Amino acid sequence: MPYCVQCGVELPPDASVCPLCGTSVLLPPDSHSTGTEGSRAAESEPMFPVPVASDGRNRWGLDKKRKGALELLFGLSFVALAVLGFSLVPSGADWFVPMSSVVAGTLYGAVLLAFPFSYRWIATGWISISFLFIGMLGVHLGGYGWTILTCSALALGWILLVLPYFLPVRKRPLVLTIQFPTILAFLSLVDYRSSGSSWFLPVALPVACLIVLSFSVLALRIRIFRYGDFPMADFILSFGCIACLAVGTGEVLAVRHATGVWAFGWSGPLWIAASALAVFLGAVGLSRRVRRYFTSQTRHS
Amino acid sequence: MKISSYVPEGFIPLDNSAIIYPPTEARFNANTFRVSMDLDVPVDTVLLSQALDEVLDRLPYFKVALHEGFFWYYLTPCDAPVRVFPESSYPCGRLDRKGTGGYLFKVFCSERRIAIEFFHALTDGTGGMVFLKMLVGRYLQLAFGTDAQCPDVPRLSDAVEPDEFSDPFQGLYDPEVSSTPNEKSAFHLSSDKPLTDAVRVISGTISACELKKLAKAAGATVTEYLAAVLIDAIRRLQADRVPRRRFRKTVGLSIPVNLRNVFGARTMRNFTLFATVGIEPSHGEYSLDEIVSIVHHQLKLKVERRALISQMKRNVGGERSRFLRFVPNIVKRPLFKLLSDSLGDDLYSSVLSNLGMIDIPQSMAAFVRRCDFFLSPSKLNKISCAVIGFKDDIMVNFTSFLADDAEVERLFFTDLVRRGLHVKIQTNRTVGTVGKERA
Repeated sequence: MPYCVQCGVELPPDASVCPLCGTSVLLPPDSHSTGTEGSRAAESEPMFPVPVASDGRNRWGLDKKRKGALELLFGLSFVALAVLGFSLVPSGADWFVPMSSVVAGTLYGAVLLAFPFSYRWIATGWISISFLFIGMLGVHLGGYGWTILTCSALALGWILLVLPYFLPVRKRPLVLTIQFPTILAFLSLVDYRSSGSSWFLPVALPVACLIVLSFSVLALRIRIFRYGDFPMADFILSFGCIACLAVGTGEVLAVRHATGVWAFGWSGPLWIAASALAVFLGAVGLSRRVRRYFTSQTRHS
Repeated sequence: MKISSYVPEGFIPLDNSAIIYPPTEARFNANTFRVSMDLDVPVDTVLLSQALDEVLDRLPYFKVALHEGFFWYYLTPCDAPVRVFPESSYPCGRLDRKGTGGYLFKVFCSERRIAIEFFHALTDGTGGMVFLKMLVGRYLQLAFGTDAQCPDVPRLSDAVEPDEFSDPFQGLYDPEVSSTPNEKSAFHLSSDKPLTDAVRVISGTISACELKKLAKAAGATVTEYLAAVLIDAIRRLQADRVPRRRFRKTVGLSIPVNLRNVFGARTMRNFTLFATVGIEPSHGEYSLDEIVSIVHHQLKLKVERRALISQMKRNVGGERSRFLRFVPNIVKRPLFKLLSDSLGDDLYSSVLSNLGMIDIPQSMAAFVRRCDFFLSPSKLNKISCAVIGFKDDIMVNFTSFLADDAEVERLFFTDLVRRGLHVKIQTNRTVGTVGKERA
């Protein structure tokens, strides 16, 4: 009969690990075959049938509190809907908006309760309900312009904020290649729907390309960085430099688009900041001595 | 025997202890328990079904189904055919009432085992054990002609007594007694991994003589001693997980008290109250001997007749309050679900229930190798401990929703081993899932 060398408890004859501590049971190969047939049959009978992956249990049932909250929520929503329906319909008021708001609110709560601790499913549920709700409102009220833009913004929000959590970390480049064209598509849609002259091609597209180019340079810099791990300070300063550059470029292009003249408007200080940061980052990136001069207070090595 | 002969209009209100179970039943709150006997001989399913029908004719209280009324849940007689189910890998799951034909129990059978799982709204451990003893006794009589009449169990030929349907809580209610005050919230095991509702079991078999000797030397009963060891195991686990002493919470155990021993009723329904015993780890360190002494004295105070009546006053008084009586079930049901933790499970860290030594006649004991008792855990108290004694062994069965964490069980059993007891472990856990955390 095997014993656990850690816990000191006797284990079943066919045990390979101790169920209390996980320590492996090491026995000579023939040690299981000692004893009479009858007693061994009785001793080695498992306590329960061999565990199976699915034992017919209700895997999708809700826990007690969540079930209680759902019942309460649905009960109260039912009463609210009934009261609202009876009070609004006879007066001839537009009952659709308040009624659908109550339904949407109930669905938001239901999603929150049905997917505990799961950001991606709660967010997906909420965005889907909002999508449906706004679509129905658009159909009911007959104004498709704002409906299309709002639904597109919701879809963009899902791609930017939720999609990355559905894919493994190693697929982040794929996520970025989906996200970037989606942003451009959304901007072009906004440009198409807005009145006045088109700003997507002369302003938004060049700025977006500049941002992608800048982040590519930053990625390359991180990859070829020679002095150990890429410092967080360098990353923050690079990010600041790109932000200043992008906003400054956008402002210059907007002025050019509006007036036909190449000129700085209010973005002069941003260009100065971007230039100073770029020079500084270039210097600490190229010269170890300059880098040590600025980092000597904290890291002498 | 017809249950309707004993119950006016075929309507049985739930007893006071049972009221809370139907509305709070959920995925991680099955509210079930299981009693079983392992035989030395293979079980014939046909004979077992016959025995089950005959026993149910004698115990008509168990032939009931649960329904939801406008104000309360209630029981009514049920005449659906009773089935015997094949043994499951995981005990104490949710009772599928559609699958059982409405009955609030489920009979399982494997090659050498007869087991019954009960929904707690129907009966308590003592009532369940009476049913099992009658079933196994009748089965052995049919299969081998054995005279297997247990001393504390009614004969099949006896007339049904109205006492078997009684709800003694109502008779013991005294409105003049003050209610027991509520206790503090206790420490609960946490897990950063998802729980599993396929209940994991770790069962330890200990020599009854050795354990009694050890408990007696410590000046306690077996229940008190095991409760103290379990409290100590949870205390040590909390000390490991909560390094700062001032943030440690009460470690408490809920111990069901069989009120039949105190008030002498013969009901088959729930007649149990829970005594909560525990220690305050934030006050300082405790040795096991100190914990045994604390548990011994706390239990003595709480099992005292007047203290129990005071606890009954609180429970039955709640049931009789006008607000609760006239609020529809549709409102009561979610409120019970939301409030039951703060009034019950939150006050203790685990449950330890001891059914005591099982007494069966020698002719029957010759066929029975082992008895078991299991309790379903809950979402808040993820581990439950059920104890039962048979022949020379005491079986300590831990049931858990934690698929890969058996730390409390390890601390509990290794403590007993260190004190010189021989412990034999059995489990339904999958090989290789335990101990990964520790490794």
